[in-house]
Amino acid sequence: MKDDLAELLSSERGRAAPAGSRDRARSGVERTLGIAIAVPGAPPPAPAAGSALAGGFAAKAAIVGAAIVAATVVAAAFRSSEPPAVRSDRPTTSTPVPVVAPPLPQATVRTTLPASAAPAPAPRPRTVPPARDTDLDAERAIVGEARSALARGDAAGALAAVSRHERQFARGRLAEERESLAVGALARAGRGEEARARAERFRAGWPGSLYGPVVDAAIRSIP
Amino acid sequence: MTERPSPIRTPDVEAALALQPVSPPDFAAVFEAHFDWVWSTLRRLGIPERDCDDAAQNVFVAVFRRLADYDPVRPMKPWLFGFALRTASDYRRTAKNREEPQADPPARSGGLAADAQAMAREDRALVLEALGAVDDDRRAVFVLHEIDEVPIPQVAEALGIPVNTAYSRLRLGREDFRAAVRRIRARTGGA
Repeated sequence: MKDDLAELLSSERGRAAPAGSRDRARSGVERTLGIAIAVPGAPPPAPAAGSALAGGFAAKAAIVGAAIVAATVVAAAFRSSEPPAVRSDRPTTSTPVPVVAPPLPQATVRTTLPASAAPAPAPRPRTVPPARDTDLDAERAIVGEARSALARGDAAGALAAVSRHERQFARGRLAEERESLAVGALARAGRGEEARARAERFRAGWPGSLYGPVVDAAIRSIP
Repeated sequence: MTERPSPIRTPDVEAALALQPVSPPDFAAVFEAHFDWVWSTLRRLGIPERDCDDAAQNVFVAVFRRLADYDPVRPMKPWLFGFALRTASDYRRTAKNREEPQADPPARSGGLAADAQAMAREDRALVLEALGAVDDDRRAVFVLHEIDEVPIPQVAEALGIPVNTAYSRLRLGREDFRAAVRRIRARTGGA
């Protein structure tokens, strides 16, 4: 955009909702869903500051789930904060792991809700600090390496990272992403047959994966 | 799930997926972290301020129900944007039926803004009014890219459109927006 328009648009960035909007919407969501949303003492700095849904979930499931989701949401938050630094009007080559469109929300209203209706939310339901998940950190580091390597066209580097992840975390939580990157790296390396075979296994292992389109695109790119 | 291929082992993934439907423990965090952005996005997509609280509520109700579909390794905003877009489009449809005015009062003159805050307010009003003049499809691309600074390839994926289409909508959206700003400034005598 021309500079004055860019400046104009920046005025709209980081805008906050009017006072009271958040509370009104929170109450509305709680009423509609029959749940209680934990109100943090102060707005958390990141999406995964640890506030937990004060529902009637099994404690164990909640804690395990919080650990998994909190850690990964933090990752997503970090990642999502990256693009602004690189404002680009051109397609970058770093598209091994683009955002895949979510299925748009259904218009129909389901009436079956997860068991909830917590009659008495705990007095301070928030702050179960997300457990430090070192395994996930390590996984993410390796998968990130593979992603960056692939983004700069270094198929060999990407495959090396993929193999390392496979050895250390064969059943890891990021196995799905790893396999999608593996397909991309093989395709890029000119190993079309292996890429196709791996893509087959990927589709069988994760039908309906959000990485599906990425894998398909990689296969289509094979000459 | 069909047969399990040997190099791809899925039990952990399955366990994690099985956990999600009963346990969306981060919904509150998502709500707190993204409420302002969702509200503002709805505003940018043409919902008048008075209806944005209700619309934001609808967005988060839908988000709650679909949270298990969210892939946590991906950026959340483009995912949430899909909900906001659908809500805004539903809104427009029903608003049309009610034949109520959709726009807030137009931007006031930008002539002698006393202080930076007032200028920022007027800039925002101008941006929102100009956005209202941009075609809906183009506006979605324009907002996600120009305001939220999401790279176009990701915008295309989030909206489920080809990258070339996204670029073309961006270009046309910029033209619409520029023309609208010029028109509004000419009308209000702003700089």
